[in-house]
Amino acid sequence: MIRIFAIYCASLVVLLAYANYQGYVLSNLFDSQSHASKSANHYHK
Amino acid sequence: MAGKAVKSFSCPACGGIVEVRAVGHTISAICAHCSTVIDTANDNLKIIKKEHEASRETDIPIGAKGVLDSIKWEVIGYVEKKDKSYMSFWDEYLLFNPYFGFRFLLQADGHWNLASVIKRYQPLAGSVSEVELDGEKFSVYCRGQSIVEYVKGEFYWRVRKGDEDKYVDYIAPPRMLSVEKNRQEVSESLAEYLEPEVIAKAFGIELPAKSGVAPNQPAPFHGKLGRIWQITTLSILAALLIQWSMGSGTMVHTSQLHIAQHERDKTFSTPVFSLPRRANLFVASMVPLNNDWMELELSLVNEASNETYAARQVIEYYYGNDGGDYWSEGGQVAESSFSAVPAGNYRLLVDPSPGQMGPNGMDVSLQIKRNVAVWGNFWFIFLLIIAFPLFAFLYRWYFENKRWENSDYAPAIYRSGESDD
Repeated sequence: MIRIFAIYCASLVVLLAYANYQGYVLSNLFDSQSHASKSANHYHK
Repeated sequence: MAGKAVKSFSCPACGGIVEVRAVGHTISAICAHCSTVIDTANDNLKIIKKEHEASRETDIPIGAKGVLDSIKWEVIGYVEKKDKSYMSFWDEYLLFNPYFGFRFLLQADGHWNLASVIKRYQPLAGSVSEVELDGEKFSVYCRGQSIVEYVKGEFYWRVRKGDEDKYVDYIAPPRMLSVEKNRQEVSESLAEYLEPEVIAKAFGIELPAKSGVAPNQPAPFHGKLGRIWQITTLSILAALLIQWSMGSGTMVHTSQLHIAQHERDKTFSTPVFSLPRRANLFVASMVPLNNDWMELELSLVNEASNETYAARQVIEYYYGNDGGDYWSEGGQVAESSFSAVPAGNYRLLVDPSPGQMGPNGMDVSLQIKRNVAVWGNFWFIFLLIIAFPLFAFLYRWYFENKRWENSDYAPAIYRSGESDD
């Protein structure tokens, strides 16, 4: 169980490093007004 | 093998056949037919106590054999006891092996212990609240007076229904030290908790399910909680280092837009800026609002593919004086994030929807940063890391509470539900 937990924690730390490097915003729960959505359509005004 | 030397004789009370398995050790045997207690110390077979009680079924029958701790034991005796004050009952099975002597299997509420008599009698044990044995501290759990309710099989001491003992139980899960005193002697036994499945497997029987928490039942994550917190601390420190290494981001664009009254429906565009690699983008807008609001539709457009990322900012700021009390709500700044934007050239289109807006129009300050450290990421990971140790800690606390709720000697931290009067 200890080993599984250690692997789980290590995976989360790696995930954080990867998310930060790639610029992912994992959760907007802690950021105010941080809503952004991607559109597949081309932009027309 | 010596264990097979079973001696039989007729019960002096009812004439039924009585078998003695621990020949040479047994000094009292109970007739399985009438429950009369017979003195087997010599061949006179004197009646110690005459009974007319039919033999009861027990979870483990007399004569059953099972392997515990790699030793084959035979059940030769059974005693049912109760606490005189709490009216709680428990079973004690006497196990015998001709080479290893005697052990006890104790059962209460479906919880089992394997116990052996120890010869390290501590004169103070029984009267103190804590004793030390083999470098381990045992805390007092209960004190009481037991009375024998029922006996069956054979014993190496004289036992009969109605015998009374004073006892004190000390615990250091999974072990329990019991001190028993009667007029003749003081004895100490050391027990170790066993899961019912172990007993069931050893004797090839089915046992009723356990209920509640036993005094010396090992707590969940027994001996692992320290290591769990160690890993948790290291992981959080590593996550913090990663987060701090991100820095505060790189500014890619700053500008100030002026929205004139006649430009309420105009879409503004920033100059083209480039992202050298995939990154997040944070757009901060500052509008000097006075009791007004503004909505900004943001569109981040890739110059090559025209792929668009959209965001909306609603900025409102109101303030006033209400009977001498100054108040304000909202703010003049809003921030939006664009997650994992691919490398390329971009421009930001800003489509404002102003509220009242004065005749001089409104200025909007824009700041665009890339590779910003997102603390939300850290807290997200932090929660995922801390969830398990927190659960382990709370479950452990709940378990210990359950353990001590039947004790008059609960440590202070587990006495929250008790009144002080």
